[in-house]
Amino acid sequence: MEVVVRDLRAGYGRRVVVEGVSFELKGKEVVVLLGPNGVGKSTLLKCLNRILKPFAGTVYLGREDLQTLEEREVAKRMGYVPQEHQPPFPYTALEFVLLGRAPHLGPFSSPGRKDVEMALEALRLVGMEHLAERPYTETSGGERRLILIARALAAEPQILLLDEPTAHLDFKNTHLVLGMLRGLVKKKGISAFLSLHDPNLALRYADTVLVLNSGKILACGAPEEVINEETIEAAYGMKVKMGRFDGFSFVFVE
Amino acid sequence: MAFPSLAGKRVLKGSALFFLLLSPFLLAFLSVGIGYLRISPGEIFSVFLAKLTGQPTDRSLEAVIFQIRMPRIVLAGMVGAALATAGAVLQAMFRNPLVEPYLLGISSAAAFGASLALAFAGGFLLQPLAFLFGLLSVYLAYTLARVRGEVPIINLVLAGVILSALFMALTSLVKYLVDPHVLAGIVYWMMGSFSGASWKGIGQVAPPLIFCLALLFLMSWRLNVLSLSEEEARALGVKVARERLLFLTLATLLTSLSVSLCGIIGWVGLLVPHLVRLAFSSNTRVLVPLSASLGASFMIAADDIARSILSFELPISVITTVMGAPLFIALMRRGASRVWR
Repeated sequence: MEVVVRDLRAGYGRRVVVEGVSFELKGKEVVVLLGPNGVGKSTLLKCLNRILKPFAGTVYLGREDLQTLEEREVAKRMGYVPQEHQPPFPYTALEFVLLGRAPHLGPFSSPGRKDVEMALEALRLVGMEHLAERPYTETSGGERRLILIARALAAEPQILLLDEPTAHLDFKNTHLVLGMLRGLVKKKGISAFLSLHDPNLALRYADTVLVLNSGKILACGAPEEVINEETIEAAYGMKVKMGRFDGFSFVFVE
Repeated sequence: MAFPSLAGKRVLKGSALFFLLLSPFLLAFLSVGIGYLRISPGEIFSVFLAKLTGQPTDRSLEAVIFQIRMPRIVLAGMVGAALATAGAVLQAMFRNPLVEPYLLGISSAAAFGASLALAFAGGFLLQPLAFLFGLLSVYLAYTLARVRGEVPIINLVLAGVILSALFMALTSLVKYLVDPHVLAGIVYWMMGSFSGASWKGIGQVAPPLIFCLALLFLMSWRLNVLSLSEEEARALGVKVARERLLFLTLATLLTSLSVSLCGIIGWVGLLVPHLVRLAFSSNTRVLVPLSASLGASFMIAADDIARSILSFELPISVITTVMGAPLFIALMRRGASRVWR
């Protein structure tokens, strides 16, 4: 489903973090947000599913204006994977993923057999069904990230929003999570919208890259077009060089 | 399986769950025989049977069972269920397993209301005043904590601490001003007791209490979602401010009703949900009903002890704490790290 964002202005209290942001995405793709710390990547992501109310601007999902939708309806369409997660209580992985069914259930109802099956299916999709009965608090960082993704998938969203899904992950888990995400996007025909710090990961996994700088969009397009010496220098204020090996482009620092 | 939505293996089997949920009723039946006058289960049974079939029975035995002991046991069970459920709800909502139902200043505010009634009105309107001041405290805490349409948890806890201290100081002032006879009454009330139990009192309080409990049972799964961070709950389509207010109101009503009936009884609201978490599950769908039934059993047992170990009655709060502390220590030494992170 395509996403259209027009003149988005957002922030916290009186502080404006993101301003004049407009872009269009065609859907069924992996979209990576790049940009230095504090530039407004998380803010932009949170505006998309309205857990942060923008000051101005509109977000369209297909033909629907998000502002006109109920919270529950937005949650059915957009799954959100937070950056940091401190679980307060030792829910099992399955109980935890089942919470993802909340948008489909009213305040007075509880999940039934069908919901449990969908939660198990979501765990299976991320390859974590063997941990279903394990307390979520006793899983590793990489497993936890995948279980969080499963929770978002349990609502059967059309778009996944992920705030730095590779934060605190080691080299292997980083590629495991991103590879899994890319596979899901292609398999289920959904979109993933995620923020990352490493341009090389964007080159490897993205279909579209958005580069953000001081609350504005600096560049938007296919990774090979967008990620170059000029854009990276403009975004991060540092000199890099581009290289090629085996058909892959990469960024390196001299 | 009683809870089909739960991951089956780790949760109780249906029969064990059934037994736990029924335990307060069994315990209540046995408790009828406990006290200054010992009555055997057989005798209790025959009096019940005679009452049902309309045959004549021992008048004094009947009076002890139906007018003195049963109201007291029913009241203890209701209050135990209410406090433990309120504790379970607030712990999940505040994302902290060490929260108790008096967190938002209900106990000290209710104590202030009760001391006003005892000091200046000879105990007249004691229960309504205790109830209203309890509600007032939570309302003030909620209003003080509110910033730009949102109610951050940390603000709510801080406001509760402030109001608690304020009402405690005001109660001290009242205690300081009144004569020793009234002072003794205030101190006695604050320690909590079921000795004032009557069918009339139960009749007034049972309907709202059962209504709150039933609503909380219905929404018990939803509470899991509210135990996530505000941002996550909102991303799952929950109207966080509205639902938090609803759960808070129900828990407050349960606590205030209990306090107005029998004073301040500590530990039950903290200990029982915690015990359920450690022994069974943190899933609120299990936690809420099990806390209610175990809370009722715990309180009935504590009251049995309070009125039977000595020739005079002991303050119930002393019993709940003396029973609770070792239990809590044992749990803490065993597997608390699973719940406290």
